[in-house]
Amino acid sequence: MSQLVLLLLLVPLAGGLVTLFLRNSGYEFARKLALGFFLLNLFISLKLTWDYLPLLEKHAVSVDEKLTFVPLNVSVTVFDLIRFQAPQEGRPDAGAIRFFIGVDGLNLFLLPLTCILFAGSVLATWNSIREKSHLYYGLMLLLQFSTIGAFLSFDVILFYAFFELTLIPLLFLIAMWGGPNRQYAAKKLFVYTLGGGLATLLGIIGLVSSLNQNHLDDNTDLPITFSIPELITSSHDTQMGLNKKVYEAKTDKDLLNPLIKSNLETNKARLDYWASSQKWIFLLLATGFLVKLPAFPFHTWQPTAYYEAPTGVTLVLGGILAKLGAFGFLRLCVPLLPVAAWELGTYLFSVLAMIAILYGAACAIAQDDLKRMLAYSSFSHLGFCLLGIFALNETGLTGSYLQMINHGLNVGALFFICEILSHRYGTTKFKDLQGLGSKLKILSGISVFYVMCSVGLPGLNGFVGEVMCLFGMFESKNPNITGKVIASICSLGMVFGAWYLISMVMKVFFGKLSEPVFKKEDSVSDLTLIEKFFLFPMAVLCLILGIYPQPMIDTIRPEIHLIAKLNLQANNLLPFGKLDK
Amino acid sequence: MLFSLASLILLFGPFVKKNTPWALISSLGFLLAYFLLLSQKHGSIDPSLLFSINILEDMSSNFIRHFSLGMGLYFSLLFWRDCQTENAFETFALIMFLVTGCSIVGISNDLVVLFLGLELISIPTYVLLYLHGKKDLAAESAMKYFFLSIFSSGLVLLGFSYLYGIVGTTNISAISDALCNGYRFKPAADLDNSSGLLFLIPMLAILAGLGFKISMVPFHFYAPDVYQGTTYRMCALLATVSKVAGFAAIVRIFGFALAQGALPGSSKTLDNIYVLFWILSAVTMTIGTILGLLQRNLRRILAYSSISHSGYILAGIAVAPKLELATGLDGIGASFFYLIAYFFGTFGIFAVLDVLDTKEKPIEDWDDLAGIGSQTPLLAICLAVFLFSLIGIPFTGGFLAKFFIVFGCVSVPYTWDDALSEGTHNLFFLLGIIAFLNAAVGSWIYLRILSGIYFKPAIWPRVFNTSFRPSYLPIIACLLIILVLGIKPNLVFNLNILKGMAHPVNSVSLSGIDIPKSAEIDVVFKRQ
Repeated sequence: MSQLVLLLLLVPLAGGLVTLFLRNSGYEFARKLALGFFLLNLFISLKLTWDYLPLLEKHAVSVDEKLTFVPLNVSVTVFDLIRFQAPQEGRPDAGAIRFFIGVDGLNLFLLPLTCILFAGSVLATWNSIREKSHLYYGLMLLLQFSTIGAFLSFDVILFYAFFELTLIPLLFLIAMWGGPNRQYAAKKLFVYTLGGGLATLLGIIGLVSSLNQNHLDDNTDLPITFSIPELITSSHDTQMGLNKKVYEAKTDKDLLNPLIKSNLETNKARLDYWASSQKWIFLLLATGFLVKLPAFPFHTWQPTAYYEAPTGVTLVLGGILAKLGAFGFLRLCVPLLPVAAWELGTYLFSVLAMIAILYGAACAIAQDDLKRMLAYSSFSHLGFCLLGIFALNETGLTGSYLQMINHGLNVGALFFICEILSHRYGTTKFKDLQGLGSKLKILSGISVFYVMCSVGLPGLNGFVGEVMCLFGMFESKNPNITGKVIASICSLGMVFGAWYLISMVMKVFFGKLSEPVFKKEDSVSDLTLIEKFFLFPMAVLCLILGIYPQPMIDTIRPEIHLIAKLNLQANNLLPFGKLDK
Repeated sequence: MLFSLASLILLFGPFVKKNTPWALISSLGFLLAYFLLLSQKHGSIDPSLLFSINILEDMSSNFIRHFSLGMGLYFSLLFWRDCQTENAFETFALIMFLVTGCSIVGISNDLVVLFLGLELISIPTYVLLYLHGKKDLAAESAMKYFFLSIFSSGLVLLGFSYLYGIVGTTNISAISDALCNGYRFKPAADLDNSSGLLFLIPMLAILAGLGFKISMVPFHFYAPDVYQGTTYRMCALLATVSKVAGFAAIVRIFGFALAQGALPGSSKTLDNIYVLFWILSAVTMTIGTILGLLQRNLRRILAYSSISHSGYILAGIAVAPKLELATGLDGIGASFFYLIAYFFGTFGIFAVLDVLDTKEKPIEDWDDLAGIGSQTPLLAICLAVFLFSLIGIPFTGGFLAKFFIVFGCVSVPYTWDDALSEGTHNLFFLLGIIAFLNAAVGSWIYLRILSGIYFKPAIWPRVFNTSFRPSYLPIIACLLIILVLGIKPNLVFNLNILKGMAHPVNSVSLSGIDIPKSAEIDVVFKRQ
């Protein structure tokens, strides 16, 4: 299985390098070759998922035992990249940046999603990329390489490296094949994301170096480690040790003893200190992910980039790369810094999520262009992801994960449809495209289906994720009423979502036919075979995920349970007697 | 010794009239010197020799020697095309002088020898600047560099003589020893705060003089003007050799103040010099970045970029005295790593630009690069990788270099209930934030160059002579090294060599005959 994981990473890399150098072979060969690589990778990822399922039970036990992320043992590849210190007995991770990849529940389903959407993106631009197509497809493969790398990494620096590497193919893809204002959009995206990423790197470094210091005991230092599982263990041990020292039941007699009393005060001060440094680190870490997602204050790059990018790239941007941000929260921020996640999450981040949901929806209503509207709608729907994460309970986290997958599928399909329209008509403005339903019957049918998925019609996939996020927020253990208020306000987002999406459908597909004055030679046809090949299986997938998401929920349960448990314990929300560590 | 060998090759250089073989001879000379250096055992210097007191063999000197020889090889390949001109032998002889000077600076343990090395770099630079300048601007840039350089040398000399006046010796180990342990030569004087102030004056003068060499703010004004008036080849030389030498000299002279944990509590003299380095570093990187954003001319852009990179390197030097050896982190080591990554990135950019810059179509502004991406895709990819390295994108050397610097800054140890140590910690955390802010803003500068290469349509067709050039060799080597440095740096060189570089004082007794028996040099700078 570790070979499969490695292959998943190496196939797009090799494919990308090969495709980049196909200078003289013409676009037909390049696109076929690229599609071949993408389908091969899709096959590998599906095989990986299939192989994973039987190992689930054993995996759940080991996650529960170790109380940290555990990549499935058979899937791990690990070797040293850069070593600072000599390795210690029993701690191969100490003092080294390692190449450490593996599969666990958290990244399992994101891998096939990535492969599906990249393959879909090639199909979407099957006929529209004619210039320098070898570069386009090569860069797409490299983009897939870095995205998969980020999902697979279990080393913070490796994760960051892949996370940041996605920028380079993106920069070229948008700036070379995008719309009229493409260079500005590409550079804006690059500088925004690089700046956010560097903040994240600073947060990572701050985290590693502050966990290097032993907060329980001044005299010893802990080893420097960059491995995510070890960091989580170390952070959790620190927190629990301090909690125990401070909150352990003390009799009144104990408190009279000056030594015990002064010790207690010292420990309280330590705990406060650790909590306050956690907050800073959390804010730094979160910045990069908020930019990538994007969430409210850092979203201004998104509409320009989504709009100017070639639609194949927008599909990947909204479908997968945005998920990197949410994934970063799930993988790093929340489990590593549970106290800060709790304190900042309930007041700051869930409010940010609320603003994103409502503000995104309001902007989407105001748009006169399909692609722009979808960009804002994606912004709004990803707010639900953030909302679910910061509910910090199992329902919310599960909902957020499902929303990641479902939103990826829906938005991927919607951008695919957008590309179909823009390729046929050369425009995506609402005023040019009206009443297409009478002409493009199959396309209209399938579009209405995906819009319903995205709106959150019960029984379809969009519903499950959003509702679970809202439920999670509603029942979050927040002592105040904030969680309930926020959840109630956010549910308005679903209403707004229905408003703009359905009015879009009304305009574009129903009513009187009005097409733009036609410039292209070939006449407008309904869905081609290639397009059906992508849209119909996806629709089936959406339906299955909407009706019966239970297998997926069960598969990710160990990790979700772990994140929630780490949070509850660290924030002292479980009584001490029940602590198992 | 390597420099005697290099000088021998130099000596008969100018007397032979034939033009073409000089590049070959000098490259072979560098290779030969390199192999001699490799075969030389550590500590093989005979202590009874005349100069043995004046040189010091330790990690950093070995590193600088390897590095400067490598640079020499690179530059002789880069200047290969000048074989055809009538000044060929002078050019190559001067490059050899430069390299010799650089390695003398690395190895010196005496103020006079150090100064000799610095001048051996400066003087050939004046001549080269004039020989290789663009016709109308050469004189201006050479003069500007000349006057400012003379001025900085004067400052350095002033500082040196002042130091000699205080301590009574020019041996750097002895000076450091005196600074740390009190006066050996003038026992009457006492070691209190006033003596710290006394030392501050020469140290500041020396720092100002060396600041010119590394183009540190506020001694950076010459850089853009001088770069603008010369060829890309010369820019590469200016941006790298004097910077390497300048940093080597700073580490050597300020070694006693920068050594981490080497001298616990023995000295209060210049104990807070790190604050000065902190300020210089923050100001240098910020000014370099901001002014770089305002430029159009490629040479000026790259000049400001080299200024801001000096700032990052200075950050490593600033943080050095505050780190603990046990953590395996080392500010000086990080600085040298940055210097290496910077060298390969900058050298690569200038070498590629040098190939592209032809008489028919000179490259001045960043949009002169339009269309390079499709006309010479391979060179363009190299250029892009070098630019990405300077931005600090993962999997290139520049990323790890920035990472090491900032990792050092952020992990300044502190105890949670000690306000002073926490203040220092926060101060350096702030430096890390400033560095990353600058890196993010600075990326715009390099992005503009990139957009010139790839995103602008070609203005007119350009035909390149695709035949092999010697300068392709160092470009390819730079590309490979940049990538390897970013992925698995241990392959190119042993990271351990960077540890404990700033410990000249430790085991050197005053007589200077006791050469430090530092750990075996398990080097090695394997160069392809």
